[in-house]
Amino acid sequence: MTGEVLAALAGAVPRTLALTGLALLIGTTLGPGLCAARVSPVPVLRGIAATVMLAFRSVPPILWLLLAFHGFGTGPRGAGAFAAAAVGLSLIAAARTAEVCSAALSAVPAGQWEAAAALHLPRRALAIDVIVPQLLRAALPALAADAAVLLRDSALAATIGVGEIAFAAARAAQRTPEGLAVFAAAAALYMAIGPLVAAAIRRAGRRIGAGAAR
Amino acid sequence: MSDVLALWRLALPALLDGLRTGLAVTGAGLLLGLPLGLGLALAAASRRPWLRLPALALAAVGRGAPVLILLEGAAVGLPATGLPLGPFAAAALALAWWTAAQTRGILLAALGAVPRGQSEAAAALGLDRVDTLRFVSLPQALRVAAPALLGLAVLLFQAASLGFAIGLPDLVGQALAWGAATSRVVPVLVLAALLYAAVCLPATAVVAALERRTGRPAA
Repeated sequence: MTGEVLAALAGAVPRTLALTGLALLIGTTLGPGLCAARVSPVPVLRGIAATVMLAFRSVPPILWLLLAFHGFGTGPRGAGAFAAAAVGLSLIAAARTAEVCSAALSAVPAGQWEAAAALHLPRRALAIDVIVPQLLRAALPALAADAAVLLRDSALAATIGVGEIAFAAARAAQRTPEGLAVFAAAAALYMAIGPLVAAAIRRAGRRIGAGAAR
Repeated sequence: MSDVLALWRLALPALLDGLRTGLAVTGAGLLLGLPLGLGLALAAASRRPWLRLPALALAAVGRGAPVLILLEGAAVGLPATGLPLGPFAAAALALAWWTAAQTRGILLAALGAVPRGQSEAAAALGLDRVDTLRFVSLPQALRVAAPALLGLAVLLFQAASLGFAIGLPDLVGQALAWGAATSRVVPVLVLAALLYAAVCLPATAVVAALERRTGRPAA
């Protein structure tokens, strides 16, 4: 396989990383908020959050990207394919993060809340110093795995024209008779980057403070 | 609002056609992928490296590569090496590969969940490895794995939504075609999303109910 093809694939890596990184950043920021709404004492908030999370669970990611693209990405005043892909992937990441947070929340022992109440801990200290570190520790493995999944989902952006790895591979495969090798190389790239993305999430989680004393 | 409904009524037959295609390719993927996944899981325990290692590689790629790459590899890459495949066959093959990789993971976990005493007792009774698997470990593992495998089927149906990228006239493909023809892409895409939800929501509810029945989380 020519160096030209490999160069084309390598040149597309930054866009893949940018898309994935942006979506992870926004998703992990919005996700906990969505999760909080999901368990909120306010019924309207709970209902909206539940509907949103259900929607993202039952509609495939490609449709969200296509809706974003045709909704505000096309046309002379459109935001462009990259922005549409970023928005779509960010929302998907937020929904998945909310799911992980919901599951992790039920992993925190009920006794924690009770103990905090017994100590008359103010709600803010309770949340930040007691619940969040334990929540983060329970959620981190799933968040890291989801990050690798998001990297693979970033390939969907190729269908709306974003020049990331899958797009470059499809274009290169049309020009050479060794299409299979091109796609094999692209697959290898994704398989190599996946663990790196997961490790980055784990490292970020540890920095934020998953190290809670039990 | 009423013109959107009118558009939906016009587009619905084509979209339902696409939905049927999507379900068909999902079925094909399951039919090919589940047995292959079982084979990959059994190969993982094999003492023969020529069996174990290629199976490991197949599973790693099926799991680690984006579905889109698998689809395009089957649709564009394979014909280049002399094996022409239509969109449905290519999609079925690629999705079967993905399914096999995921199934292997589920089955390996399920086999690990069978108590060790079972295989020890089987050995004590004089059963060899194959018979132990056939009559003791695998049936129990399959019962544990059932909810997860059903959940996998739903995920496969969602993954199959990418078939349009290789020319398969599935739900998304029909929606895009209708959207392009009528210049009303977003409303038709919304209808497609509703159709997906209409299939996936009940299916997910069934999986959740099954999880509760067997008392084990599906994931």
